[in-house]
Amino acid sequence: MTDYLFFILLGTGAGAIIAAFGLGLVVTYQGSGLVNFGYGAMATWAGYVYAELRQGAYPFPIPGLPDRYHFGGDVGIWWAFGLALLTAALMGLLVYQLVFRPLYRAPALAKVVASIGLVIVFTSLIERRFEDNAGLRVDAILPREPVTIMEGVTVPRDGLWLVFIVGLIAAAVWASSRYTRLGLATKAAAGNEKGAILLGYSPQRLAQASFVLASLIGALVVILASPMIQLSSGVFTFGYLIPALGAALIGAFTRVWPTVVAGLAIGLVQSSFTKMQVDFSWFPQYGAREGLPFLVIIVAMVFLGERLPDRGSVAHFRMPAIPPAKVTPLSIIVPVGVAVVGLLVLDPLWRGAIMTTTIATVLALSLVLLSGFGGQPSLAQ
Amino acid sequence: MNRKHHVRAFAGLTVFALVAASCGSDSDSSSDSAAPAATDAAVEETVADTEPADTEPADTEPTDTAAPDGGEGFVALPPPTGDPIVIGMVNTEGSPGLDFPEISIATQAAADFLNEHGGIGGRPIEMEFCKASGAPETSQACAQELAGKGVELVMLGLDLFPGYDTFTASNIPVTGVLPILPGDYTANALFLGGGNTTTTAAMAAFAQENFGATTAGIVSADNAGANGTEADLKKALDAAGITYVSIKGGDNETDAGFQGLMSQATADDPDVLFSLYADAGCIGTMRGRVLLGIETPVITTAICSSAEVIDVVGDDAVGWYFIGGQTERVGTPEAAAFDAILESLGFTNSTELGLGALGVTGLLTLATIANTMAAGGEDVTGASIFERLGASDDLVNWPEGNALTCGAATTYPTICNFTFPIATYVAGTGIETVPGFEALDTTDFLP
Repeated sequence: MTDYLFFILLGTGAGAIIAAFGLGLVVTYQGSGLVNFGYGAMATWAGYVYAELRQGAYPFPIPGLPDRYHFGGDVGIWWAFGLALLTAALMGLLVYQLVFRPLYRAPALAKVVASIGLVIVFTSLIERRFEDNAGLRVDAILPREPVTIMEGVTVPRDGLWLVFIVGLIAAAVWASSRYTRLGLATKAAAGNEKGAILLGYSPQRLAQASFVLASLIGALVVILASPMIQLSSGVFTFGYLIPALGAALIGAFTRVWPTVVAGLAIGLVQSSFTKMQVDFSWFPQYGAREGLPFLVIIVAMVFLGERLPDRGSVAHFRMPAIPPAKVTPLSIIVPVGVAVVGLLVLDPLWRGAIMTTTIATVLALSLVLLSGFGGQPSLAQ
Repeated sequence: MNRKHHVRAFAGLTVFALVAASCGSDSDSSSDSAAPAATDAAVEETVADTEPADTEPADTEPTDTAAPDGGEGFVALPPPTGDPIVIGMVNTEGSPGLDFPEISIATQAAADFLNEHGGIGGRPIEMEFCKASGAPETSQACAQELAGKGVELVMLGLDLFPGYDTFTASNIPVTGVLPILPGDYTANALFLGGGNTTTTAAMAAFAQENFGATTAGIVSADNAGANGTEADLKKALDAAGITYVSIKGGDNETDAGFQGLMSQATADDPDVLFSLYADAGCIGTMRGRVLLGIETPVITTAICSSAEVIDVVGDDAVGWYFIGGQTERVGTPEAAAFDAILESLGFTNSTELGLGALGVTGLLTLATIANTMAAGGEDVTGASIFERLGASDDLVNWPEGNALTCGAATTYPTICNFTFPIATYVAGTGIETVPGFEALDTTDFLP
C-alpha cells in the first residue's frame, strides 16, 4: 500500500495541472457557452512568455512585428510573472473580441472550428518564435525539495504545492461565483441569457471577463508547472487539455469542485498506472494512461450527457438551406472522363494535380455525408 | 502533433548521432547548472567506475576515419567544372506540427559548399526541392513533380510516404538518410543510416558487450512511435539473451512522474536500464535517477547527449551512455567542412542545425562516394552513384568514415550502415566516446 501511495503522490503535479485546466474550461463555458479547445495552447504561449522573459526577451506573437524585444538580461521572477500574466489577460481579451465575439450568433460547430484554429495558430506561433529552442526549461519557482510523508514515501514537494495553489484558485472561483455580482450575473446568464440582458448585463462582456479569467488561471498554472515539465508546443496544448475536458465533463461544465477533484484524480490514477502495469497481469500493456481521459469522457457522456447544460442564448441561428443535388449522367461522366484521360496523357505534374484533386474530392464528399446529411461534425475526419 | 513527435524522435536518433559524429558534443562541460544535492554520490561515479571488466574492444574496428572524402577533405577541393547534376529532395514542410524546413535549408547550404569544393564527383549540384505536407498525396505529387523535372537522383529529407513507385517507374534512384516507416526498409531505395532498427540493436549490443547484462529495465512513453521503438528494442534484447521489464509512462510526465518510472524499472535491480525518452524525458529520467540514488547504468540515444539536455542536468548525466554519441572532433577535415557549412548558415553551434544535419551528412556522403568513383575513373551519374552504393563493400559514410554495406542484413536490404559510436558523460569533461566502442557493429542484434 505504501508503494501505491508513493506512486499516487508522484501524480500530484500532473493532477493539479489537469484540475486547473478543467477549471479554466468551466469558467470559459460558464461565461461564454464555449468549449475552448485552444485553451491549453493559449496557456502554453503565456508559459513561453515567462520563460523567455527569464532569458531577457519578450516574444511578440504578431507576424510582421519584430520577433522579440530584448531587455538585455533576466527581468527577474516578479516582472516575468507580471508581464506573462498581463499577456495572458490581454490574450484572453483579444481572442474573445477578435475570434469568438464575431461568431456570437454562429452555430456551435463554427465556434468549435474557431477554437481548433486557435490551437493551430498558437502551436505554429510557438514553433516559429521558438524554432531553435522549443523545449524550454525554466528554473524552479515552487519549492521542490523532497518531503517524506511516511517511511518509504518521499516525493518532490512542488506537486503538493501546486495542488494547494490550484485549490486556492478553485476556492476563489467558487466563492466569486456565489458571492460576487459578476459571478452571480455570469451564472444567471449561463442559465438564461435573455434574462441577464433584461437585467442590464451584457453577455458579451461577461463572456469576455470569463475568457480573461480562464486565461489567467491557465497561464498561472503553466508558469508554475513549467519547471516540473519541459515546455513544448504539445504537452499543455493536448497532453493536459484532453484529461481536463474529461474533468470538466464530470463537473458538467458548471461545477467547480467536482471538476477540480476529477482532474486531480485523473492525474493521481494515471501515476498509479506506473506500478499497476507491473503488478497486474491483466493490466493493458499499452494505452492505459492515455486511454483513461477518454474513458472518463465516454463515461461522463453516457451517464451525465442528459444533464449537461445547454447554455441559454438569445441567438437562434438557422442553418442555410441546402439545395437538392442535381446529379446527371453528364455531371459524372465528364469530370471522371477528363481525369482518366488526363492521367493517361498529361505530364507528371498534372497527373499529381489530378490525383490530389481526386483525393480532396473524396474527403469533401465524406464531410458532406457526415456533416451535411447527418448533422454530425467529426474532428477525426 | 503526435506524428510530429514520433518523427522527431525517429529523426533524433540519427540526427544527433550524425552531428555528434562530425562535431562531437558541444555541450559545455563547465556548465554551472546546479545539480541537486542528491547528485553527490553520482558525481563521484566516473567512466572508470563503469569500465567493463572485459576491456576487449568491440567486434568491429572502426574504419580509418581520416577524411573519407579523400585526404585533406572537401575544403581542399577546387570548384567543380563538369555538367551539373540535378538532385531532388522531398521534404515535409509547412504543415502545423509537420514542418522541417531546416533540412532543405541545410541541404542547400551543403550543396552551395560542395559547389565551391569539388561538387559531386566533379559535377556542380543543382537542388530541386519539393515540399510534402505529411499526407500521402502530397508525397506522391512531389514524386510526380521531381520526375517531371528530370532529376538524376533523389535524396529524401523527412518524407513519411515517399512515392517509390513513381520514382522507380521514372528510373530515378532514391537515397535517404533516415528510414522512418516500415515500408522504407524494403523499398527500392538505399538509406545511409538505419534509424530505429540499428539504434535499438546497438543498445542491446552495448549492454551485452560492455556490461555483460542479462537483465534490463526499459522506460518509454506510451505512444505509437515509442511503442514501435520499444518493440524493436525487445527483439534486439531477445537476440542478445537479455531479459527485461518494460515500464510505460506518459508523453506529459512531470519530473515526479519520471521518478516513478525509474523507480519501477529498477525495482528488480536489473544490470542496465534503457530509456527511450527524448528531450524533456532525458532531463526527467536523469534527474529522477539521481534523486532516487539509482546507480544502474542507463543506455539511451544520442538525443539525450545534446547540449540542451546536458546544460540543464550537468553531472546528473554521469552513468548514462549514448548510442551515436562521440567525442568532439576538432581540427579534422570533416570538422572544417562542417564548420564552413555552419558559418554559411550563420550558426556557431552544430546543434543549431537540428534536423538539417540529415541533409548535410547525406549530401556529403553522396559526394564522398561520387568523388571516390570519379577518382577511379568511373562515370558519375545519379544511377551510377546508386548502383555503386548498393554494391559497395569499400565505401564509407561522411563524416564518421564507417563502412557502407547496403544489404548486409538481408531483412533490411535498404540500410547501408550498421555501426554506431557509443559515448558517455564524464564529469568535468563532457561527452566522450567509450574506449573500444568507436564503431559498434549491430548486425548480430538486429530485430
